[in-house]
Amino acid sequence: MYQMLKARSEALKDEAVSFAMELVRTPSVSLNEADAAVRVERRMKNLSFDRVIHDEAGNVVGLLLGRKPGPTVLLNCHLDTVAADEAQWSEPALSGRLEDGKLHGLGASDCKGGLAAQVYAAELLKRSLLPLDGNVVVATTVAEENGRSVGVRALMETTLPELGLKPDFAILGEPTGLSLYYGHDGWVELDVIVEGANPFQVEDSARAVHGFFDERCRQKCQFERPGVAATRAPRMEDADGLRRATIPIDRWLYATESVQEVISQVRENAELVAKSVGAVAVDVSVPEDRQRLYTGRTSVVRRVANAWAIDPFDPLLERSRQTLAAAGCPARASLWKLDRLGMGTAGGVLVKEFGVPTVGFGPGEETRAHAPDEWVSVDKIAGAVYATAAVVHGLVGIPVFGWTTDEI
Amino acid sequence: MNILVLRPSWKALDYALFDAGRRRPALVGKINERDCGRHGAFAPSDAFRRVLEACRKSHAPGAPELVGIRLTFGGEEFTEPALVTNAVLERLRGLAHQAPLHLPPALALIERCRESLPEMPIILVFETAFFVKLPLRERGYGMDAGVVQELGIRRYGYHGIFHETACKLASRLVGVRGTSSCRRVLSICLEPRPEIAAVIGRRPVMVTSGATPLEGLPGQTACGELDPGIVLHLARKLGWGPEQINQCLTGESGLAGLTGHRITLDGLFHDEWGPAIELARQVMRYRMLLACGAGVAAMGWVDAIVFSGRYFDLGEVLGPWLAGRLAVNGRSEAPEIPWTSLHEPLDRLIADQVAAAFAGRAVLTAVTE
Repeated sequence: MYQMLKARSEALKDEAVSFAMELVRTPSVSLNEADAAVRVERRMKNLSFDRVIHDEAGNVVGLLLGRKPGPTVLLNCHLDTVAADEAQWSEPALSGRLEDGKLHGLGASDCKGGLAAQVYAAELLKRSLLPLDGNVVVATTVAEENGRSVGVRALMETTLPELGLKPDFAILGEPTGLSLYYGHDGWVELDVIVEGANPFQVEDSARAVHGFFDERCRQKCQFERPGVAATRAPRMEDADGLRRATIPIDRWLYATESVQEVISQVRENAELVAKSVGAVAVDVSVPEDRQRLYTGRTSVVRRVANAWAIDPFDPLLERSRQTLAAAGCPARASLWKLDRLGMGTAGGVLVKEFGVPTVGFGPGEETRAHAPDEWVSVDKIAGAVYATAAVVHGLVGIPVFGWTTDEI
Repeated sequence: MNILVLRPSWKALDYALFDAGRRRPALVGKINERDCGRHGAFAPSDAFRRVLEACRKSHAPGAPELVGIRLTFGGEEFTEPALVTNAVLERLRGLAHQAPLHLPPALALIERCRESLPEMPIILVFETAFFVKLPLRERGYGMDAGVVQELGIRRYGYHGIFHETACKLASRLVGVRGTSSCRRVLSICLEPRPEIAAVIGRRPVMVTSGATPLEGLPGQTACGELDPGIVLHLARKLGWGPEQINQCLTGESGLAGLTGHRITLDGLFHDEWGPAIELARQVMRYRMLLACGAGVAAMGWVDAIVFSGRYFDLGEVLGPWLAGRLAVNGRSEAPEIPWTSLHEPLDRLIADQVAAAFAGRAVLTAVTE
């Protein structure tokens, strides 16, 4: 079977790479993904998907329906990119240039190469005529980079339930260099608010709180890096006869922590420090933004990217590892490092909010995500088409056990 | 009647066009990936268009009037050739999950065939049909009856067309080499995945294959009979998943596993030399001998051995060897078992079945509808 999949994937390589190039050349900064969505929808409709849906959030979803209601595997990539700082790039960020086996351009690695690979992995399964027990959902979603996965949340809350589908597994096409990634740290932005009638006490307390957390930035917590990633100087304002200081803090989140636990911990520390200086009230909140999606729909999002990790012995990870080994592309299991704040994946929503076991498997490289002169290997896009199809078949395909490759 | 025979697989479409009254094909060929423009681009429906083109361009005296398609698997539903109708197609779709590598490309081909030649009768012949009525004691497994029933686990043979014709041929051996009847036949099909069946009259009573083609004799890449404990051991000790185990047992075992390289059954006995080859040769002959012994035991006697399949001429090597070692019916003074070979290719046998089925098409239609 893998011999056949491999051969068929070779025939699809040029199409998949050309589609990735088309997407890279199409601007799709977060909340402005309309053009890219139209291209994905058009491509899916020209391929063999059983159904293609363009939902109210602007996500584009292609379905392969199996002979049973489940299981269902979700292949997910985001349509959007971060905004490019062209001054940092040595060529136009949307060049989509193909040279020396590399596709260059904004989003090539994160994750338009992965998106093209997932779309063509589904096409590969269809063209190989391998029957499926369960369903394959290829969901290209909006507002991941800057929208805290608003698109995925809409997909899970509304679009898929309306189709009668609930994913049992998810595979993110985010950059993993064709390794299997099963989680990452997250981050949260916090506002520590110190408030009181006496402006001097408020300002002294705020400075003390800021100093306390600034010092924490230089101390490693029990995890490998500091809990507090950054603080900024207090902002002062007066309201209703009270002096108010707001101290912004960026805090890493670890998979064992919840946002609420972190808020409680920060509040406790801030209160201890602030109240030792003056009579003030302390509160901690997560700032919220109103996002307007390209479809016009709006939603309020908190500045949080959940940390997430599935069990290293989760059946999804184990089955993915096994099928990749059988397909001749063994993959190591690892975690994303995400060493810059502001990064994250939809796994935070899928695992933490919807309980869907999730892994990452994509052709891009994490180090090239959100970086100037981004590129992705063309061979890895082709490899991802084949390997993703193999994993999906292992999860929802009808097994071919015992059907020998000898001619019969 | 001109019959176009098609043998679809996931990587090629073999075809042969037979004129009425002639045993040899007027046209024979194979459409594979190379013919479809580029590596990996093979699709059964596209291949069929190329077959029709080849028929048109050929000097064959007549266009196809009847299409016969060989299917590897027909489950318990298809015990005879079947004329394609909507109902037959629906039943086949329901079986696709039992032969997931083989039936889907065949279904795609049938659908394309009906679109392109809407008036043309299409008759399906099934390799498993001959074995549907294996005795219960032979088709069953020593497992929990509930599990067996739930999963539809049972034994089949997968070279029924060769075996069926081989047994008809054996009946012609009556009177040859002292035989007085030829009802109990050991049919040895020498294909890349060889298969031995014991047949009394027209009814098989033993076959080496199993619920899938993996069981039985070692193949060119398939392991053949194996202690299920080994499978569990691979899973436990090496941490292999079902796909890895399947890949190993179906694609990297058998003669490939024994010799360390790809080798055909023909090459094993004719061309290749070396210690690993010699071991593989011994294993293959020994396994065949054991299977023949089981077949003789199942029949209680053997009147003849018939070789068939693409490597039928290995009968020249294996026939005397097996006949000499099967202590005939327990009597050393008994005459050596007569053996013969079926020389005709699979396409011809399919065409014969198709022609016979079409001749009785009134019955055929009634059965399939």
